[in-house]
Amino acid sequence: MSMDRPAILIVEDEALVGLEIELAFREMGIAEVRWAPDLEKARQILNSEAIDGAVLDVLLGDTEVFPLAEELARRGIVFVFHTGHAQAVDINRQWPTSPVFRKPVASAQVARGLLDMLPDGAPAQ
Amino acid sequence: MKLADWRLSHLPVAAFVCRRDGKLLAANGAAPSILGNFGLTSGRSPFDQFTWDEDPANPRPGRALLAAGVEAALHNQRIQVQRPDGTRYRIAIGLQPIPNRAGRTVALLCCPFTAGEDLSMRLMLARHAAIIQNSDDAILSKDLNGIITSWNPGAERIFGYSADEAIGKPVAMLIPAGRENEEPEILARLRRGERMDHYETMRQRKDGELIQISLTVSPIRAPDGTIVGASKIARDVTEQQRARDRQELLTREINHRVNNVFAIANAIVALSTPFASSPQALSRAVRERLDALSRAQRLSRPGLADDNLASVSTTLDALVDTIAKPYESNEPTARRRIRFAGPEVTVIGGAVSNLALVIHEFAANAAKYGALSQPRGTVDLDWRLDGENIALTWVEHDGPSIAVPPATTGFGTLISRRVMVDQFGGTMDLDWRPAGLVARLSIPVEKLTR
Repeated sequence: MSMDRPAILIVEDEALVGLEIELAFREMGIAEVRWAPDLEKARQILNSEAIDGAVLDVLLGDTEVFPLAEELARRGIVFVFHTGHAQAVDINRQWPTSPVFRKPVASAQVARGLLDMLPDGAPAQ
Repeated sequence: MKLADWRLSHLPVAAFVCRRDGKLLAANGAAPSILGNFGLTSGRSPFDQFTWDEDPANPRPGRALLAAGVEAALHNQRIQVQRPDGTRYRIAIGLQPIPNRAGRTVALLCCPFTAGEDLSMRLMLARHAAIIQNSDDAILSKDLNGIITSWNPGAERIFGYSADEAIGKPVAMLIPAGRENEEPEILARLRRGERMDHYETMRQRKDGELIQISLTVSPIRAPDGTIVGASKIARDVTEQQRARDRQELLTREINHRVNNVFAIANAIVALSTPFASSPQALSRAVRERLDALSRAQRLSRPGLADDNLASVSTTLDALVDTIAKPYESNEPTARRRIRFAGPEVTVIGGAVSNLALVIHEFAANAAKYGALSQPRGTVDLDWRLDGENIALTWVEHDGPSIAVPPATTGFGTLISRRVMVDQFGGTMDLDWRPAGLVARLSIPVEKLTR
């Protein structure tokens, strides 16, 4: 991993939405994009690959993403939330540094939000 | 009068004897409890303290009552007694003339009793008791120490304790852990004379089950106005609460679904754009995809009766049927163009839209380049259980002959692979034979049903 070629993890249970965000990152020049539809797959990727930032869908099926958010925070990996639920306020209280994007939102906005959190900023668009 | 004293003191009820002019001759020990000492001064007439109950605003002197009692025995005369301070309270009184040997009334035996023993009062009490007995609400009373003093059948039904089990016990036995300070608070407010209306709280049944109740608590006052206890009316609102919770859950779920639908629609537009050859082609492809998704959504629409709205299921059969619909003729005798068969497979929640989209992409692709682009072309879609997987086979017949396999970089292939392989953890194998496409898909059953 390096900040001029950051690796991004998208945790999103809806394949189409995940793919759309993935393409938004690719359009911004990010080649290393991984996608996980559930927590299990996300942990597997985290344990085998270096990840610099993550987009987290809040509800994966019936499972909340928060345990994974805690894990990312412990590892010092930045992340943003992407949610269809109306609990942005609660999330903000617990994760004040992570922006919450309410669905529907343009994927480019989500991608830009995460890239802005990376230490060296995003690569040129 | 020694004899009269002796006799009166042995009567089990309040009694006094007076002369025919009303002057008191003797009273027994129970009489002051009804009339007060002020009404029982020797040589004065207790009847001067009486007013008629029927018309307190225009009181007639107790003397009229006395005069009637001199003529004949009177039972159960409702009257009011006036205290020296002008306040009044209700009693009833019976009068029995005492004749001399000549038959002339010389004295009267008078038995005052509390109005509670009055017949009309009894009737009223019986009426109230019937209302309480037949109420669906729990109606109980307690004293100021919180000890239960009465318990109706509604309370038996709602709380599960019989009247025998409940009366004499502290009402705190109904209070679940964590709410122990509610009862002292209620008692403190009662002592101040406050009433509590529709106070919503939780109580615990005998069987341990927690119920939501709406509680109304009012002080019970003694005749002298002091608060001696409380009446409590508790209505079981567990069902109403459940209905409210369900409503809220449904609203949240619908809100979530709507947001998700827009997110998916956004994704479809964004993902379709790079693959479209023209704005018209883009518009058409997006419309078809959204249409397929909306029809699939309809299959998994949440029902109001379901407690778990997120896991509404449909079957693979119904899903294929709805996605195939745009490619079938409306004429009832027309042969099907997409024939499908397989065992019943449940498809739940999130898997519905993804699987619908994959099947839609196959059908749309066949309509554009494959078997469904020809008038006689057909598709066979079969599935069977293969261990832990559902194995689907898509076979196209009578389409244009395929010389070279088409490039598989379109939206359909991209999204199908993404769903089949990455989301479902299954496989997708496309075999472009000269006679038409044969596609083999395999999906772990648990991905569809979990």
